[in-house]
This record gives sequence, structure tokens and C-alpha cells, in this order.
Amino acid sequence: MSEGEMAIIKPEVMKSYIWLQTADGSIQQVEEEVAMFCPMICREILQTGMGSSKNYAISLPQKVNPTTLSLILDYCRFHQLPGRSNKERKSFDEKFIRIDTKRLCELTSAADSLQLKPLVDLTSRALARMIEGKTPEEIRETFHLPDDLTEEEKLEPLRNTADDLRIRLLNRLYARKRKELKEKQKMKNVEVEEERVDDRSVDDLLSFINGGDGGFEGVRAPKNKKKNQRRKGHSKDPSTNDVNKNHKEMDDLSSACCKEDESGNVFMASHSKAAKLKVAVDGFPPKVEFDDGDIDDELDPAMKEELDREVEDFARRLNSDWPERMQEILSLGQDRKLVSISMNGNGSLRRYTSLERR
Amino acid sequence: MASCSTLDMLSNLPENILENIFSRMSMRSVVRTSVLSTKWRYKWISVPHLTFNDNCMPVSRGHDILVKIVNHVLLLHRGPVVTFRIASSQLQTCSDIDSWILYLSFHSVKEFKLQISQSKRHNLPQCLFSYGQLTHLILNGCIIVHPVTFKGFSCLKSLLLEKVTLSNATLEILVSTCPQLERLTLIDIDGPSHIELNNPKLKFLYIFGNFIDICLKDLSTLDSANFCATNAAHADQQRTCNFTNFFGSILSIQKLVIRGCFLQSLAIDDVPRRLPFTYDHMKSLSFTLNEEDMKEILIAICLLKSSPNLQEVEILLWRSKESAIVPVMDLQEARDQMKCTFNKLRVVKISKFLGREIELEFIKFILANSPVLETMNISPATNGVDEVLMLKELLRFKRASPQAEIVYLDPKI
Repeated sequence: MSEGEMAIIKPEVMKSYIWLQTADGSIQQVEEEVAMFCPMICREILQTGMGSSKNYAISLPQKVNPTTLSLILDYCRFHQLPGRSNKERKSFDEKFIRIDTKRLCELTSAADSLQLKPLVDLTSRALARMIEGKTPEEIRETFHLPDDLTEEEKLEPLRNTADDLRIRLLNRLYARKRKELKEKQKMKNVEVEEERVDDRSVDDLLSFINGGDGGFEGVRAPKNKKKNQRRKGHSKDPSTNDVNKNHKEMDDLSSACCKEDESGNVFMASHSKAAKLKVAVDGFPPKVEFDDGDIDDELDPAMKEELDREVEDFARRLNSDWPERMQEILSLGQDRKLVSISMNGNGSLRRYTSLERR
Repeated sequence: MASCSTLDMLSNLPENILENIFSRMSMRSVVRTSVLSTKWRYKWISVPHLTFNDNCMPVSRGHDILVKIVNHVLLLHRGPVVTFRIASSQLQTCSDIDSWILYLSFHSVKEFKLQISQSKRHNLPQCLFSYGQLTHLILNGCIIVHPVTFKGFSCLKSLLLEKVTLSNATLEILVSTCPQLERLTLIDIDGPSHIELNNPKLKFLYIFGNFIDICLKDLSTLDSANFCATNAAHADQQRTCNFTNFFGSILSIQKLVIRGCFLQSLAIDDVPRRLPFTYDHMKSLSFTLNEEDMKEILIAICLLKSSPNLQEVEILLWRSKESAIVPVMDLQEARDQMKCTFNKLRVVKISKFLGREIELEFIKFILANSPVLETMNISPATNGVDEVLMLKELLRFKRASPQAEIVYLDPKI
């Protein structure tokens, strides 16, 4: 070979390559300076001397698959050049992370196992941006997360604390409802059922509250304290068997309703105005010891007004439907299907599901 | 769904990555991940940085809800708490705060911030002083009393006290027992009349509020200092630090800002014609100047002369004959002092300009002695300026720098 030809071949020969092997067995070669940008590969080369030939390829961690590896090498190839300006690097980074979420997560994992911190930070920033400020539904969709929490669990645990006031209201309304129904029962000359302590914790009752701007505005703390005091006196009577079956159904219904979003609210809202409602119900829920001494303290007048209106509205609507619906529910027998009554944000009823099955 | 599970890569990311992601999200979003799916229910509870502020807390719900939320989060939390910051406009003094501080004392907190925006200040519990790993401390709206056994925060790098009440002794011990202290900020603190600073690593100092007698002792690492006194020192106020000592302790300063009546407070002493040292590193100097006060004018000239490498100067002018220590009679003494060259001065800004003699003297002095000056910004006082007359004068001044521009900014309406 002449000198001239040797000179032409030389540059290619001089460039050294590193051989990398991914977990699936495939081997790639990559320019040395690009590979050295990864701390883990760099260390492998320096400490063990591996990577210089195909037989002695550096095995990469399991998380690095071939597609991810090529992405990472692209990143390294761009950034290892010292001559790039900050602006160039930034715009490269912005374009680089525009990949689907699955690949982005794989990339993050792989970069972490290769200890490539700048890439880990870049991808983490991107992922954080995708999660920050989005609703849970949006996040689940973006990242293909399974929606496998029950409604209950979704409303725990922090939302309780944010809605303390509503929770207390709810409890009172529920208690009031029970008392009203008991009154009705007494007036029909039926023996009062056995005392049953409601040992459901406050948390269970809380669980149907939607923490956001859910439709709980339709609730109003009732102002019939006097009635309570009267009822308390009668509270400790035993129950009868007649009523037990109905009572049980009623209970199931109540508990079922309680476990649903806002359905309980709606339920309770109507019965807060039990004095005005003409509810003909045979069964009645168990008695609850309840101290209503501090009901109306926290509500400010504006909220009271609003709640008042909403409850009136709802009561009117429910009044017409309620007796028939109750009969239907009770006649469903031991069927413990959950009743899904949901209420949308502004307080109006959206649908009765199982109840509509005729 | 099978396809769902293979697509969901996010949930299986290792903990350190999740922590990285969580650290870039607001507290609110972090906690909300608990309702995404079963796997995500308790991923957030070991997040080491807890920040509660108006952005992530429901402001409309008030103090009680805020307290409940913080209690709930702390109750669920597992693992070390590296950062705890609470700065909500709704936070009032209450015993829950003490519980939080006690709880955190077992969690090796490194950064702690407590801000009470209401007028009633909170009495800090003494367990705060047992935070041995503390590197950053911000207290706002508190009453601080140190325990007698307090030996100092050995790792504290940054201390910010704003609207706190404490005694001279407490401030003294807080500041002097922190050998690693790099940043100190005191804003509107009640109580101390005196402070002595000799922290070997102090880089940044910011003191704002009533005049405090500041005694600096050889702060050779101080880069940037900002002093603002909202009221002048009383004539009979004890002052242990005189002008030369004060300025002699900050020789490596790069940026100095003096506002309010601070310069005046220093001017009570005798002002030497020339300081026995120079600020070779000072790049940026900004000060307010009462142009009716001869002593302040002399200090200003003295400072300028002692900073040969100055690159930026800003002078905010104001006028008050009553506050003047030595009222201006004759400017000859000032003119005599104005002899030096600013070899690196590039930008000058003069505010509240009225076009009076002393102001014009300053500008003349700077223009004639700044060979690399690029811009002289003059911002006039809102009224009382005879623009044409003044501009005529300015036009005549000799300029050492051929590229100097005089930019006359329109008065702000």
C-alpha cells in the first residue's frame, strides 16, 4: 500500500469502539467517547478493561433493552460534545423527552441503572410535569394505571379531614332521619325495635363524601333541637320481630347508600327535612346516640341559606317519588345490590340505577 | 387488563426515581397520587420534603383545616423528613405547631421553615433547638427563647429571622454558635439592639429594620451585604462599632447595598478622609444618600474612592435638612475629595435626580474619571426638575469614556 492510501485509512482505524451487551443477548458497538459519558460503563471499562472486543462486551443491567439503549446513546452522543451551547442542549432535551409515557418510564429506569444522573433528572422532571396538577383520571389515562380502588378507598384518607364540617352535618342528618322514622313508627303504634347501637365508625360515614366540590351543598343542618331532646327520652325501647325484616332492609339500604358518593348525601338531605316530608316507611334504622348540641355553630348564614334552598328543592322532588321507591327497594328482598344514586356537582340527581329496574 | 399492566411502567419505577419525581411536584399533587390505584396508595408517604403553603393548601378553609391536614400527613408519614416548610397565610399560633416541632425533632430535619402571618406571634418550643442536623432555618412570626443548654446548630448554613421577638442574648448565641453559617438574614426583628458577627464562613448578610448596632469582626469571606435601617440610630444609642472598624471588616466584599438611614447612622462618627484599606473586590455598590448632609456626602466619596475596581454604582438621592448631621454649607470640601479614577466602572444609575449642585458635581466627577463607562442612567424626581437647564449642564461635562451614554429616563408618573 502506498503512503497516501495508508493516510486515508488511518482516521477510521484510530477511532475506538466499545462493545455493549444488553440483557437479551444482542451486542452493539458504540464510539468510546459516547459510551464513556455513562458513569457505569466508564467504570466498567476502567476497572475491568472489558468492552474492547465483541467477546468481552460489557453486560448492561437488565433494565436496559436495545431500544432504550439506542435512545440513551443518542443522548450521550449529543451531550458529550463540549462545544454545545446551553440553549442547544436545552432544546435537544425538550425534543428528546417527547416520547410516550411507557418509553419515558423505561428510559428513566435504564438511565438510573446506568447512573446517568442528568438523564434521570431530565426524565423525572418530564414525568413530574405530566403528573403535577392533573386529575387522577387524567393521570391514570396518561400512564395506563388500573383504576382498581373502590370508591370508598378513593375518598379516604385525606379528604375526610378536609371536610370535617360536612361530615358532622351528615352524621346529624342521618341521626335525625333515624329519629324521624322512629317517630313515625311509634305513631303507628308499633313496638319500637330493639336498641341497636350504630357502631359504624365516623370514618365509614365519612367515606361517601366527595372532597372536591362535590354535591354536598344541598345539606342543611336542621334546627329542631327540641325534637331531639324529646326523642332521647324514648330511645331505649326494645324492638319487635315484625319490623325486623323491614328494618334490616332499610338498614342495608341505608348502609348501601352510605357507601356511595353523594348518594347518602342526597338520602340524608331529604330526611333532614323529615318534618316536612311525608315519608311512609315501615322500617327504620337503628337508634343512634347523638349529641346535637353543637349543630349549627359552624355554618355561616350564606351557606345555611344555600343549603336550605337545595334541600327544599330536593325534598320536593323526592317527596313525590319516595314512597313508591321505598316499597320497591324493600320488595327486592334479601337482594343486597348496591344502589347507585349519584349526584352531579350542582346538586341535582343524575340517575337511579338499580331502582329503575322494574 | 393484561395490556394495561404491561403499559403501566410508572408504578414499577424504583423508589429513588419516584422520590426524584415527587421532589419536583407540589405537596398537593404528591398526596393526590394516593387515589390513583392500589399500588399508589402509600407510595407518597415516604416523601422526605414536606411543604405546606398557600399554593397547595385550601386557603378558604382557614386555620383548623390546615392544622388537620398537616396532622394527617405527619401521621401517615414514614421515614426521615428532610425538609419541613409551612408558610400559610391561615396559620395561627396554636399548640399543634409545638407537636409538629416535637415530632420532627425525631426525624433529623435539615430544613425547617415556619411562617406565622398573623399578628400574634408563636412561642417556639425549646425542642426546636435540638435539631442537630439543621442546615436551613427560617422563622417568621415567632418568639424565640433559647434553652440554657443550647450549644448551637453545628451544621446551620442559612438563618433567616423575620418579625421575630428575641433577646440580645438569644440572637447572640444563635449567631455565634453556628460556625458553618454562610447566610444570615434579619428582617424587622424585635428586641436586639446589638449584634456581633464573626462567623468565619459568612458570605451573605442582609439586615433590615430598626437600626441595630452591628459589630463586624473580620468577615473575610463576606461576598454580599445589604443593610437597611428604617430609622436612624439615636444620638445616645450605644455603638461599639465605628466607621473604620465596620468597613474594615468586610474587605472582600463584592456587592454592598446600603439603604434607609444606615449610612447616616454610620456618619455619626468621625469620617476619615481616606480609609486605610481598599475594597479590591467590590464590583457593585448601591446606597441612599441624603444630599443635605455633608457627612454623608463625604462618606459616599470615601467609599467610592476606596473601591478601585467598582463596575456598577447606584445612588438613590433624598433630601432632608432635619436628618442631616452636618448640613451642607459649602461644597468645596467635597470637590477637593473627588479625586480618583474608576478604571472599571461601566454602569451608573442615579435616582430621584433634581439637578442640584451636589448632584451635578457627583455626575461630573464620575464622568470625568471613568474611562470605560458605558451607561449613565439618570432617573429624575417626579417633580421640581428643570429639565432643560439641567440637561444643558449635563451636556457640557467632560467624559473620559468615548462610548459613555447618558440615558435620561422619563419620570415615572
